[in-house]
Amino acid sequence: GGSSTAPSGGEGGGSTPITLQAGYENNPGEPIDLAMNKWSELLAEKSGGTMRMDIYPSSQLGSKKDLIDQMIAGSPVITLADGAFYADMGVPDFGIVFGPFLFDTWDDAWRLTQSDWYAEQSALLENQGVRILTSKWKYGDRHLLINRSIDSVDGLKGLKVRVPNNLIQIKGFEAMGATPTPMALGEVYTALQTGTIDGLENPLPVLYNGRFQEVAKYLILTGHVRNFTTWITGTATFNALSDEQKQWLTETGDEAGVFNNEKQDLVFDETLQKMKDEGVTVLDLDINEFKQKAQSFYSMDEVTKNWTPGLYDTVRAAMK
Amino acid sequence: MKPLKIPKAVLNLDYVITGAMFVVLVVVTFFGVIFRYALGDPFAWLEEVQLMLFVGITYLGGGAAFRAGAHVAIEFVVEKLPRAAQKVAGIVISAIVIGTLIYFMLRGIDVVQLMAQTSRSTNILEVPYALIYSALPVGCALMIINYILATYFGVREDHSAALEVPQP
Amino acid sequence: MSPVAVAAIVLLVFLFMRVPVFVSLLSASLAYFVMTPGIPPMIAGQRILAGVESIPLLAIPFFVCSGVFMNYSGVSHRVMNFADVMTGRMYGGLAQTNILLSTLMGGLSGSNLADAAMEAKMLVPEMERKGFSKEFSSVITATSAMITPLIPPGIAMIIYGSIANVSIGKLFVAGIGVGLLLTATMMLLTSVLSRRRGYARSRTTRLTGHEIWQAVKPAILPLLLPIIIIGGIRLGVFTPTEAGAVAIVYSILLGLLYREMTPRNFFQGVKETIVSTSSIMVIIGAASAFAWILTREQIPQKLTATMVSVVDNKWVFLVLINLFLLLVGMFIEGNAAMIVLVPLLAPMAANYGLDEIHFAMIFIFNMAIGALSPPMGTLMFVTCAITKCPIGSFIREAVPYYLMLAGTLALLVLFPVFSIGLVNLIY
Ligand code: NA
Ligand code: NA
Repeated sequence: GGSSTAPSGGEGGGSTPITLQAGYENNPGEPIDLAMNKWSELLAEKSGGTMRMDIYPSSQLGSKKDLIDQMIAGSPVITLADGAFYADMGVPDFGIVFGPFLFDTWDDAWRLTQSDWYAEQSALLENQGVRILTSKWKYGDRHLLINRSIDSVDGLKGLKVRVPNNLIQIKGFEAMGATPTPMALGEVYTALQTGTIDGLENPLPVLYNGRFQEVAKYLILTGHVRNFTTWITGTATFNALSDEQKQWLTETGDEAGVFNNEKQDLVFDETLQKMKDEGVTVLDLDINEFKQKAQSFYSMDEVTKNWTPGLYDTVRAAMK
Repeated sequence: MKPLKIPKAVLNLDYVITGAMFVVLVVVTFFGVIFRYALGDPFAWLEEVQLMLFVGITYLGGGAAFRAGAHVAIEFVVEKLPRAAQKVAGIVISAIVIGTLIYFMLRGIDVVQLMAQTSRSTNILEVPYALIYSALPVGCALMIINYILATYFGVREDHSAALEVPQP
Repeated sequence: MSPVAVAAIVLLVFLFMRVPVFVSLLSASLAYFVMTPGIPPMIAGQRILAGVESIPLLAIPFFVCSGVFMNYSGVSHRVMNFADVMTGRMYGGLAQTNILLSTLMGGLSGSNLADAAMEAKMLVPEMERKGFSKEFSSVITATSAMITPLIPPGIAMIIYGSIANVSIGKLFVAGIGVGLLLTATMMLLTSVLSRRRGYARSRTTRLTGHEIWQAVKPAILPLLLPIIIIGGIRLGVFTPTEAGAVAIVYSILLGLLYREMTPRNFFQGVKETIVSTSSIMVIIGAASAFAWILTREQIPQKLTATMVSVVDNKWVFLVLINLFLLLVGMFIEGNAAMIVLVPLLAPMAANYGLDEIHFAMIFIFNMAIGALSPPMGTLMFVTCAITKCPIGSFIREAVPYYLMLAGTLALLVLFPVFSIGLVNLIY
């Protein structure tokens, strides 16, 4: 082999492989981390050792925001990010994928990633210096864990629900009638324990790993966000690769994504059972009511002011 | 050498700015507790404001810390050297300090430029990161100026004076 | 030579050349960034900014400020009278007052330097009048100031918790056990020394109930603050960080109540807070950049692998780590050492099955000793600068106390109950 010329490699036998650094927040052992180990293996295999991916879990290389800046500046890093972030990066329409109940099923989400609309948004992102490598990665359905039983969506009124610090998720919970409270995840356990806040939302494994079921016993399987995530690198880094290398990288990324999604489903079932065993009650509520209430999100001025007019309809059409 | 005379109003400008930032920081944090706990109405913008003030205080206060002699260093090795060697060491140290701070001032400008190019701003209040992070290059410049003033022009103040306790 | 090796050498050489600690760390990072191809230099700026963008670290300016304000607000005098009543009949009267005062002020302030400066100014002249030597009084003041940041709130615990991802609330509680252990061993040694040297007790007679109440009453409000802080954190009213802002407001209220705090005091306190905060935080920012380099080069993994393959015994590891940390603490500012070393050493300790809180306390205690020992003992310098005690005589007089600290450290290492006992009880 060795006929492929590495863009950075110059002349010679190409003995130093192209090295990418993948950084992410998830901890070792979580599905995302296992899948990244898989990706790293697959890439080394497929490229015959000419491409390498070092992995840095637990935010070791910096926060998501920092890594994105690093890749824009030309560093060969990879990280995972999603619509809420891309909205902050000058592609405001991308934020809608984090809107409450946008997708009815995961297939809706996957179809959207194949659509022209998604390709347009990805191109806009590329102008900002960020290139999406692979999109079909489940991060998980986001569900709601609270410290009291409620009968319907109206029970959310006045409940302080911790959300990540971004406008989309804050407004999403406001639409459902709750009092969204941005807070660092590390402070949530004590805050819940003592009633500073009443609940939080996240994919089940994140809820379980934070042991939040010890201090909040009522789970509502809202699935208000089908949280898929994407792996990105810098446009400059990507364009410096040969066509063959580009293909290796994205193909193995998709393959690792399939692995990830299987692991995520498995972990979801296991985790739900574990939570029930530890005394969590799954509230059997009409999720449609939540969905209807959340609909007002899509007409809030603070949310839509940055969007292309008619975005919601465009996106709903694109996923069908 | 006679200390260089610089009007207090100019010299203390960094204290005035960072001091005001600190007062705001304490006030928003304290009322943040009250609004969240007692009134159930947390400030969504609290964390953003706290962080931008913290970055500002840290780097814009760095120059004042040079005037106050508060930047710690290991003194004892150089102090054991003969006079002449100490003089040489002093020049080398100055070159290192100024050179390094210039490098990081430029890197700070890189960061600010990147933030401006990508028009990044905070999530809730939409304060441009270019503004927030400009504390780094400006701070490095202030540190260079104050380092020179303190080392070569005798512009110093007594750091421990503020720690002393008035007798009743 | 690899860029990271060059960076390490630059760091060590510059540190000992009297280059300010934060500049030494920055120069080391500079060397790495210049020598490593393929890294955009912008990242150098980003890392030192990212090191500062941390909500838990906000507690640093807050607790520095509350410490200084407590001294201005008239709290110190009231707590001192209280400590005096409690210890007056012990051997070494005022020396014991000095130690107890640091312990009590520990609940109000997170700054060892503010405590040492306050007591050097307020208590040492009084001690000299009562016949204690200048050296002894200075040693007592500087050593006992070590207790102040161990009793929560404490800056070291905030930094450690935020780097190693350990609950700061739990570290605070663990600090109470360690702080009280040190108070006990120190009072014991002081009592023995005082008896041998014939240092007077402050009183020999019992006080009347009325006299005791007269001293206790004014101290009630100040001593309520530690209860407010720990209780408030435990009940979820505020986070450890926010507790700092609460402490500042409380100290201002007391200052107004006692009519002792003036606008001039206020401005001076803010000024001191800015200078202290900036000088600590630029070190933290610079150390974060350096720590990022170590992570990028996967040094922690390599070091842990080497250590585990060489040393397979937990106790040998502990002995080595303590010697290493003592040495580091003597030369490098504790906060900077923590930022660089915690990511390297905490995973190692976990590998040997050590409890995270236990190891954190061992680490913090070692760094605290460093503030007292030559050549870079900031506590020693601040105290001696105010009391005008020559450093040489200070060190000679401090020998029994150094031995006491070593003994206390051994207790802490051998018996985890001193650090985690209270945590298990409360959490
Ligand atoms: Na003391
Ligand atoms: Na304290």
